[in-house]
Amino acid sequence: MMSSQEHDRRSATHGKSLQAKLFAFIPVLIFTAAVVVAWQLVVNVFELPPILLPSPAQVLEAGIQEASVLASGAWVTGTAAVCGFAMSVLLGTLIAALMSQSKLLRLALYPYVILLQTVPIVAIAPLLVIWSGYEFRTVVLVTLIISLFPIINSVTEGLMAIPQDRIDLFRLYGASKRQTLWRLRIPTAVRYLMLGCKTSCGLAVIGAIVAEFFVGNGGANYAGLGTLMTGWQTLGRTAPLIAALFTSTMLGIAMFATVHMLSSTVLSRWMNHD
Amino acid sequence: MARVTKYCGRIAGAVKSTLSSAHNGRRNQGTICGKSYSRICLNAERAVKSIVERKQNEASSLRCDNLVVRFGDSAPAIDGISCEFPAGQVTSLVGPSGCGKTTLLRALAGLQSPSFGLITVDPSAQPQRGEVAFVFQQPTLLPWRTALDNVRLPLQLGVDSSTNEEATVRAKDELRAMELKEDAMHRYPRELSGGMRMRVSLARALVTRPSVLLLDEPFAALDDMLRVTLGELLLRRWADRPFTMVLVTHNIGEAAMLSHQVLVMREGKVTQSFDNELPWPRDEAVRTSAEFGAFYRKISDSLRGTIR
Repeated sequence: MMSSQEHDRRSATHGKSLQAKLFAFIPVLIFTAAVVVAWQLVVNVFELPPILLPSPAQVLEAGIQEASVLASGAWVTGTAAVCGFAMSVLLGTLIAALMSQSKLLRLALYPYVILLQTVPIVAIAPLLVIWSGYEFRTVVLVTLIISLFPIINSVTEGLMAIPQDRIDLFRLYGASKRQTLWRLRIPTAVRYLMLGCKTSCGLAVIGAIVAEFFVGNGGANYAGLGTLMTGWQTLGRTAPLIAALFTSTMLGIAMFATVHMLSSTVLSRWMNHD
Repeated sequence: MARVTKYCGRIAGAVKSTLSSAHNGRRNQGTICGKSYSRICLNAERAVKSIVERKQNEASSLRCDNLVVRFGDSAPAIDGISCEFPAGQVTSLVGPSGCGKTTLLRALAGLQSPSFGLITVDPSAQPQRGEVAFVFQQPTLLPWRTALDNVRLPLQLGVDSSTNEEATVRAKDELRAMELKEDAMHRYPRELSGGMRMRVSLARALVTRPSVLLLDEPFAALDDMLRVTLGELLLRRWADRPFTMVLVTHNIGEAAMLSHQVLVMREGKVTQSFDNELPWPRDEAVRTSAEFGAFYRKISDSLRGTIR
């Protein structure tokens, strides 16, 4: 009675084994090793001065030497990025919810939403420093602005892109607006929100560091990764500068990984739409 | 025989169209018409509620009188259909693509308001939520819910006063009736095959114990074996507790096997109606009988006429 269409499909969708996952890292590791070797060779062959390009060993050494400074810098920048990112998720979802409710609001707000995306952040950052001061909150503000657009954009899309037959289904059973929102619209939008978050969390780290370039100039008592970078640049200390670069990259990766893990564990139910 | 409008919005729709046609299509009269029509709607609703108390779970007959559905200024999708869907019987709608089968079905479900005409129900009353069930062409399951939770959804939306436990028990019963295995009930739609998903979709439609079940080519995407199996399961459920069934299908064999009445549609009109005299139960013996072949030919001849 069971036909060909009805065989078990669960095995096909089951996750990869741990071994397979670890195996996936091997090409990356090999490539990284190759890059490090090439880097070292370039430094040796061309006899580059450390101020232009320090060797990988020198960068590592500077990283270890400045480890505590880098760690506290990463902590400060990370906190600002997470704060700004979290605020952009809340605010962006709210704006998207408003925009999905009325066409008039959508028409009124959308140009400003696009403005968020198109105005260069490096142009706004100094202005915000003037208005808000050489403060932590300015960094958070810049982060918020840069990471807001992807959230608004994708959540609006998610709230609007509900398949007609699902809406019909809820209408058929006389579901109230609230029931439709909680049981249909929001669950559909979760996937879109997480897509927006993946774009946004990387931008948040960039926003925080760009803001710190400007905040650091004020000589205030603020020591994020961006501040450290401008400081070491002025001193001509290229090795710790590169170490800070790697640290900020790792910060971005850590945020992306967190978002990714959230969406593949806690939120996985809402992530896979067929 | 008491026959009162099924959905007050429908009277309203008819009144509105009458008024606006009286105004010869002048659009700026719309608001006035709109106001008067919402009041009529409320009164009618109250009247219906006060006059009739409806027995739950009883099959209802449906009737269309001069039903018109028009989208924009194009030719009407439904062009003055008058027909009856007898209580507790199965009616199949067949016809070429675009002849208005699905639109008629959506109008019966209340998902599409008619431009003109009435849809009436007997025994008459305002239908309760969940009394009219609809099976879409696609299974239309919510991907973040397990099969069981998908079936529980109508009950969770407050269609009746069943508790959480009752809802679970009823959903499980319905899924078992559709022969879905116990372990598949706790899987997500993406982990189920097309046939299993359609079983879940049917179970969800039946879980509210509807008096009317409307199906829009539910088996179109399935292979022939599965089509027959699910058709038989559906008939078994129907035999347990007869409800009025309207089945839109492209498959003449399916129409002949499952229904008491077959309506052939063309360009928004019902062109022919056939009573299906084949004996019950409709088993393999019926499928291979000469009568089945003759009835099949009658429908396909009529359909060929519509295509010409």
